[in-house]
Amino acid sequence: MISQMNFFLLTGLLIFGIGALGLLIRRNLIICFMSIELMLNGVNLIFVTFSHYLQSAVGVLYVLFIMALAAAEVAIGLAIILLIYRLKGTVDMDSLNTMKG
Amino acid sequence: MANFDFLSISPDLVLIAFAVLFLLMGSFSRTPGVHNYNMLSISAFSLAILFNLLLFGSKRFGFYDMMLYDELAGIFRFIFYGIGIIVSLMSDPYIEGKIKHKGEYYALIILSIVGMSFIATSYDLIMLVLGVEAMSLSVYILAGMFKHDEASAEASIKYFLLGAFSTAIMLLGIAFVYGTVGTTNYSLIVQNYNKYLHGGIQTGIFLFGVAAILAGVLFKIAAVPFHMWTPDVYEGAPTSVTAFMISGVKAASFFMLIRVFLIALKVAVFNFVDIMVFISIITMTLGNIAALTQRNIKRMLAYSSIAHAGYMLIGFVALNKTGLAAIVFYLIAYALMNLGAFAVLVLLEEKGKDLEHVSGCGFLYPFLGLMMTIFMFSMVGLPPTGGFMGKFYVFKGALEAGYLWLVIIAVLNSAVSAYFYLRVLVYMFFEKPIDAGGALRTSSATVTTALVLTSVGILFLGIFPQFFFEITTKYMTYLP
Repeated sequence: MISQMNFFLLTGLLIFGIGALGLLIRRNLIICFMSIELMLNGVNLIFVTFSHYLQSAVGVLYVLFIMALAAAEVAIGLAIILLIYRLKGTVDMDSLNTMKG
Repeated sequence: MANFDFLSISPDLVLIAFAVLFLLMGSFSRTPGVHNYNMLSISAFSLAILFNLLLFGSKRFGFYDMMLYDELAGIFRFIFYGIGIIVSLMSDPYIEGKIKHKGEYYALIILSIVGMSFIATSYDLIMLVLGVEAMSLSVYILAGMFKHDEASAEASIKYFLLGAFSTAIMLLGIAFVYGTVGTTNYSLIVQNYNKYLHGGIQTGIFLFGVAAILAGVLFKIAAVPFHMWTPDVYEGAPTSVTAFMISGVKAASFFMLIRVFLIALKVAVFNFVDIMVFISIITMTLGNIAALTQRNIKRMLAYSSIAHAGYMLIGFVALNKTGLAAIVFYLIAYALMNLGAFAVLVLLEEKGKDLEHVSGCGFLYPFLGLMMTIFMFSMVGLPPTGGFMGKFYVFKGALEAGYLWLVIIAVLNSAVSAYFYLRVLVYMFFEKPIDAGGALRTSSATVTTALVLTSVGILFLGIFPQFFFEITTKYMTYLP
């Protein structure tokens, strides 16, 4: 029987893994970008779990910081993707082939 | 109230004030084009250096043990601010006309350097993450600063996706370290590890977390197997930004490696020495071999920066005082020679980016030729340059730790690297120019100043190495 703490930890790891896999295999920049957010949220779940079972508030504070970081990354990432769309007319990763060697 | 030690972050506060001022000037000024952001940013960094000089020598904990300002952090602050000055000097003629709001460019450089400085003074893993993000987020934007250049936008998105990926992995590692030792404070991690973890699955999870943090740091350093982004990003980004990334971000990442792994995670560092030996060898070999076939000079220097990261990791593998102090010395020399080489490229870039385009430039522009000779000699590691002494001290540290075979591999690698560094000089001096030449449009007093500063610095490091090496050895107090 899987304990409650391990259940939450494994869920967090699973979300993180789905995000990592999505980043590596999907070709659409927006989807890749969402995958990164998924990874960060998986980390958040792990932090909350540890924080609850260790009876320590530091982990929850971490979650707030990570949310702020994720928001900053959204602002910058979407701006860059918009820039790519303006220049190339597509957000497909295979169009990023200007440089070789 | 003593915990709010604003004095210890006063240089950063000055820089933040200037960055905010730049952004406001861009928004509210009626004549946005005329301001001399270049000189303002240099004075900001000079002021920060002055404040840091007043602080230097003290050891201060602050912000409820979130920060520790010690001498080595002070030295690294000098390095970062110095890099800021040289990058500001070489940027202005290059971005002229290509970036509409120059204030944003300089504000982002300043904010990125504030992030680096926070990495240098961090004493808690959360401060480290915030510093890394402040540094990286600014550089993501800087890499895409040329909005009409496809290569620049590509560099930006590639750096962003992979950088965010590495941050997520690093955060996962921090989560596991926090879960097993119950704290993220550097000194408490060591205490709690000794108190609570005695083998078993808990220690296994702790080591997994440390490995994930190491992966995140190695990504920023651009060590193999986390180097794939380096060539594309360094080639595509604006040349002055590449110079900043290749020197500043790399120096900050190496200090992150030293600080985190020798203060907080020193209980675990010996578990990773073997794999670091392997990573160091494969990093320098792959970097040098890939650089052999490059025609684009920026791309060649990108691969060479991977190789240099390999050499510096030897000092980390040695894990003794000489080796670690040598990393700091090497970083100073490495930053100077890369900034110098990129300052030359900034001027020559209007001719083109490939080796053919610089042919004949050595005699057409004797000053640039002389400067490039100094920087390339330093990159190969020929005396009397800083690059030579840096390699010498790193290898000395490795020999003291008994890694003779590692030193032999590194020396063979240096011999290979001579081919592609000196080929640049062969093209510059022994090939016929492809066009009639004439004066470069962008000859500029500020870039010349940057070239003189870096070359004098490199020769000083090469001829009087003792001066700096004694300082770095004296203050290298982080030992496993």
